Amino acid sequence: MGGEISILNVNKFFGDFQVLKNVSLEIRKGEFFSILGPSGCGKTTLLRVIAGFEDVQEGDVLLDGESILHLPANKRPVNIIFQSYALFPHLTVFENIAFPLRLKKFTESEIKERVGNLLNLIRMEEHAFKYPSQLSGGQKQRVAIARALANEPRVLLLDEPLSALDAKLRQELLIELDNLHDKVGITFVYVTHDQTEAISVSDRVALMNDGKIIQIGTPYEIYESPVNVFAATFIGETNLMKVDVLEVEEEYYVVEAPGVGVFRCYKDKEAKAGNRLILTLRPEKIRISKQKPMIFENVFHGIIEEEIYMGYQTKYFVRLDEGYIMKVYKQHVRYLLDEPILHWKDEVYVSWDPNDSFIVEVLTS
Amino acid sequence: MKKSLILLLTILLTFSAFGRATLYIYSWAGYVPEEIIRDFEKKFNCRVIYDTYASNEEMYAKIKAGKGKGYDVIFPSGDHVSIMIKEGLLQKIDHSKIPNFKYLDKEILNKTTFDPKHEYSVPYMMGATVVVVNKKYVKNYEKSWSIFERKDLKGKMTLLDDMREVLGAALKYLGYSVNTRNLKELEEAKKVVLRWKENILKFDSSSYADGVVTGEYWVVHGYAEDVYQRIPKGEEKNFDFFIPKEGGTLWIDSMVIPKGAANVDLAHKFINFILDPKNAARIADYLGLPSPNVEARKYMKTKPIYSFEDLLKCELIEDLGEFLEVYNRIWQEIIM
Amino acid sequence: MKYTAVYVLWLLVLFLVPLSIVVLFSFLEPRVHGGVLWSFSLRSYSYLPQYLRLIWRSAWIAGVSTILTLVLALPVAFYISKSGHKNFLLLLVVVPFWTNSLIRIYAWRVILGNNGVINQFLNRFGLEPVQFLYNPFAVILVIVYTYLPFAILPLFSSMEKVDESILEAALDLGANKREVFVKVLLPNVKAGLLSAFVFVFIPALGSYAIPDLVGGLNSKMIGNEIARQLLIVKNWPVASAMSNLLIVVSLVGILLIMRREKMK
Ligand SMILES: Nc1ncnc2c1ncn2[C@@H]1O[C@H](COP(=O)(O)OP(=O)(O)OP(=O)(O)O)[C@@H](O)[C@H]1O
Ligand SMILES: [Mg+2]
Repeated sequence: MGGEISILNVNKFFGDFQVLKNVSLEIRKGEFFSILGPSGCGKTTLLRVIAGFEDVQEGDVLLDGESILHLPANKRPVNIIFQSYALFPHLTVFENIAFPLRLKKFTESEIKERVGNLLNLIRMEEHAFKYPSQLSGGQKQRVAIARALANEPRVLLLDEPLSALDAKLRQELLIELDNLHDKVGITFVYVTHDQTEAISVSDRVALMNDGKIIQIGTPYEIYESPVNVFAATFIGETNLMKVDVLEVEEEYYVVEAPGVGVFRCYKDKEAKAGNRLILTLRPEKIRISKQKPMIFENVFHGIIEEEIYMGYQTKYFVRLDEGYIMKVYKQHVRYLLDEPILHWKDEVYVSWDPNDSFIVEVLTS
Repeated sequence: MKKSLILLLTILLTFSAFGRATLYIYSWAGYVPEEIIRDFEKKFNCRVIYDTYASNEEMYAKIKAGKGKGYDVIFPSGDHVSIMIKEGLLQKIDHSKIPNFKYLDKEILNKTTFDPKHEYSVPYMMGATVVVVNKKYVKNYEKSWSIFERKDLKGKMTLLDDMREVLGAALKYLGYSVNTRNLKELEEAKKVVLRWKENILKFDSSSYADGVVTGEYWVVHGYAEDVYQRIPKGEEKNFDFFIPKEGGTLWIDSMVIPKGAANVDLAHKFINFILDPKNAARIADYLGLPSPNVEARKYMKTKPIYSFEDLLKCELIEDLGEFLEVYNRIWQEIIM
Repeated sequence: MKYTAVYVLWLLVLFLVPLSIVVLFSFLEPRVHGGVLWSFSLRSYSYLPQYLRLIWRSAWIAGVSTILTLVLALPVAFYISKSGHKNFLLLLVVVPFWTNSLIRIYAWRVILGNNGVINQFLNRFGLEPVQFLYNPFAVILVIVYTYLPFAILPLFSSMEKVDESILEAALDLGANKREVFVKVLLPNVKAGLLSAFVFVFIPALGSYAIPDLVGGLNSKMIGNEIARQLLIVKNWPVASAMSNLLIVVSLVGILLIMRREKMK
């Protein structure tokens, strides 16, 4: 049912400006695949290449093993949902969804049945005869999906379909989209610049920047093992540290970070004493307490510079004795029963497990 | 700097105008030669303002709206002279002030049915509606209305888009009066025009002159001076203007003095000046038309487009009053 | 508020007053030398049935011209709306207005006349001249030429408002170019089509100079007859009655179209 897409060394220019730089991707059958990247990095362009709205100067695009580059957009078994939904203003919801079916000369009864099923799928039966201008943002988005599915494409391309909606609705629709994906079973290629969206529903994520693919992997891989500084900082928040290797042990390095001090970190990558590393340490992996913890390594003393209460967690910015400002996110698991509440100006200790940091890059000095 | 110059000029002009009387003339563009006007200004130490109109209708609307004020001498055609008399827009001419009137041809004076005793009008020029042939394309032809019967010129000829002119031509062709009130004659004329209609390209009053000069049309029915002015220098010999031997329609333009004229005395002087044989000769030479002034013919240097004798075969289109309805109906049947 | 007053005054002086005079005159008796007699009469209207053929001809010439104009204007407007040089192209569209329309009509005579550029060219190759002008088709050609900008401009402005992505969406959903145009673009520029229709059909119906200059024996339109009645026959009430007929036909047409639009 779902299709498999291979993008092979695609280069694309707008005039002199290169938008896609040697992009290669394998998207598997039935996968929920996200393309994530900052604004202007070329996500939409990549999607439009797959849909057939842009030609490429080099490379190939295969669908289930066959090149589709020579096919015009209207002949590709791929459908796209635009950032703006692009519903036809002159047609009702029913007719919008029926549009591709009428083009294919389906009989009236077939159209009724198919559109009926799709309306049921998106739970819009009672709105069938409204015009797009009479729909809410979320409803429009669902109609756009139904319309794109009417053709039974092998791949559905979604270009930031939620970006125009408010945060709460976005959350709901994202889950709905995930459910829909499970039901229809076709390949979804989902473009977004919102990392939480990408991480929460995708099977795999491709991280893009400046026309290049930076990293491809499961959300877990990308979050936990970013391949470079960009990947580490783009997804989630982190404490990024440049550290010097003092000593090489069997499993760990002893390192010194300016503004922090000396501590241990796991040997994710090979390095020698004297090398400089870039280390990422996720704020939620750091413990914070008034009492000095009963361990001897990776513990530092500091003062809370700022606290941001978020409900489910509190973000602390702790100034360490040596000067480094460390982000620490404390989850409120058992808020009242836990230790005393921490406040601005409190003296605290921060600590973390040497296994929880991650070496992003080894800078040879 | 420029502004003050203009101011100075205005003041000067105003002063000079103060000293001299001003005569306001309302006429067709280029109808009275500039030198005649300049000579008149010199002779009577006055200033002449020459304002122009493109049709009798335009002139009539303006004079009617202004109740005859604003101009001293106007040049309407015959039918409009009678209309203006009926509407009370003109004042009587004082013949004691126009001694040169005696030079006008009696034959012409007899034709001015619109003002038989010349109480209100003095003829300026007359002419006929003619047929113009572009001889580059048409070599052999008879000077007759029958030219419009010629199948070999089909699609190359035009008739005026004017019912009185066209029906008038057909009536003359048949030997009837252009002002007939006889239904049988009119029906016959209608049949003739319907035959002509088979051969003409269109009824055209607006672009025939240009058409015949450029060779777009070969034979046109129209006003000689319209075409004459458009012929490029040196090509005059390629064009023939003729009044068909059966005769045709005649027009007479007269000089009149409107009721509200400010300078009646000077207006009379001007009319008399125009009728001076030497001046009349210059005017006729300039327009290429025969002069209505018998004495002037001695002084003319050019041969007019058509002769005075030809004109005498022609008949003036008269106002038919209510009977015009019949002409309208017949014309309607022709063009529909 | 102040502007409304100016607008109302403008409408009144330049539009309603002259129109009322025309309506009023059509119900009066004619005077022999133009003008009207102040006595009520329906006589002018009793003339109208004679003009049935003329009215029919005017209507079909205007109708065919309008349809051709719209057919030509649509792709042009579309092209301009998608072009990167919109302002320049729009300028080109309106450039003809810098020249008097009569001169432009004469230009067609210079090009297509019996002795015109094309025929002289044919002549040079020993071909028989073709009479392009002096028939209803020449009238249609020049009407289309003259009013094309009036159709392009409103179509352009409504096409510019059409979201490019709905055209791509249609393509994506399997429509070919023609289907995109007919099924998606056209329905979304209806307002523009309607104004283009009105801007072309109404002046075309009242054409005067075009049939006069490039028409022949069988291409006089109602505008020519109105002018003849007014200037030569000097029957103002009949001229007014015919003008009113034009106004009524145009109004009824517009209202019908607008009604149909609303019902949808
Ligand atoms: N038709 C075009 N001509 C020239 N440059 C273009 C064109 N379309 C896009 N670009 C440029 O290509 C780059 C990538 O654009 P693209 O729309 O793919 O970005 P994106 O990743 O989808 O961004 P966003 O998240 O803001 O939608 C941008 O710098 C953009 O300005
Ligand atoms: Mg985008």
